Amino acid sequence: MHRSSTYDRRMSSPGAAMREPTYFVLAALLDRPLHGYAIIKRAEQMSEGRVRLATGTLYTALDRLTGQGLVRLVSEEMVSGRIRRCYGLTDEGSAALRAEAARMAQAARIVTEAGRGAAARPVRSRRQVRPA
Amino acid sequence: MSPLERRCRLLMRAYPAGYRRERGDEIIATLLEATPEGRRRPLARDMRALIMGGLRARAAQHRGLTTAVNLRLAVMAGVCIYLGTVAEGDLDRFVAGEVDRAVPALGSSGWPVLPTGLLMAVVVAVAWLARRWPATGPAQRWPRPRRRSGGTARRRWRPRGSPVAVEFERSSPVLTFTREKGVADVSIDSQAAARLMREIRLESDKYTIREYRPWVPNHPPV
Repeated sequence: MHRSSTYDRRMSSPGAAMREPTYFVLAALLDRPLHGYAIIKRAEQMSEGRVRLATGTLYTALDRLTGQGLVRLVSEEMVSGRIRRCYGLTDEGSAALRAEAARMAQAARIVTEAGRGAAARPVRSRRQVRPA
Repeated sequence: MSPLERRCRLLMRAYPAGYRRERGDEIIATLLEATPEGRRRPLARDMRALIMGGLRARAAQHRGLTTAVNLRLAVMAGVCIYLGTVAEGDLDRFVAGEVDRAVPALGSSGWPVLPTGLLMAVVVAVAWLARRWPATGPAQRWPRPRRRSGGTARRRWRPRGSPVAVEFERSSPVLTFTREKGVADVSIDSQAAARLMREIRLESDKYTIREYRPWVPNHPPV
């Protein structure tokens, strides 16, 4: 009965694009470990308000990232009678984050440099190309 | 406890009990921080995300089962609830072989077609979700709270006034029709997945059905 699903294979394949919320959750932890609400705030701030994680989404992501070994529980403390857990990047997590950043930079370069290339080399119209 | 916190706790019911025990307080603390001052209920998107997150965590619990089985479980639950609600009266005729269609006709017991249709839509949606989100990552099994009594750790859920009770066992979900407390009329054992959708075993000696084929067309072999 045990069978890994396509989802697993897709998620674990190297080079697969990371979704934006995942990226910003990891990026939020780049400097130092944070607790749940701090991750939400930091991700929102880093993405200039674009990524506003809902609480449930955050914890689903944390469960998944912890399972994948990208994030780990760093500390547990009681703050005003409530448990507060801080999460941090693992070495694997920061490697994955950097790989993703490099991938996006590469993807961005295709567009930014293609733009310049097109400007330098004028496009000939079909009329000129076709032999009369 | 503030009304906000009470609502948060209610929403957390979407998550499996083991998960709630493990993470519940932490998630609620975050939720309280994330909710703007003065609101009596969490933000709509937080509510949505919690319900979806709960469903995902529940789906992840059954990772031992394949996607196909998860899908079937969802459909099977639909079959049971549908049969139970629509056909309490029809059940007798149905099991006696008088109703030869796979599913009793809509509305044949005076059950309005609209709610039945909605119920179907929900079943399809659940089946679809189960297929789409077989897991949220590596298998996550949240330990269940231990039962005080020995024996099988079955959980039993019976909506108020419903003729159907659903029982879940950790390793093998069992859905049970019950019309009297503790007396199972029909139970469906899903452990043998291929057989699971084809057979309803009636535990009562009154009825016997074999080769019951629900409306799942061409479901793939496991």
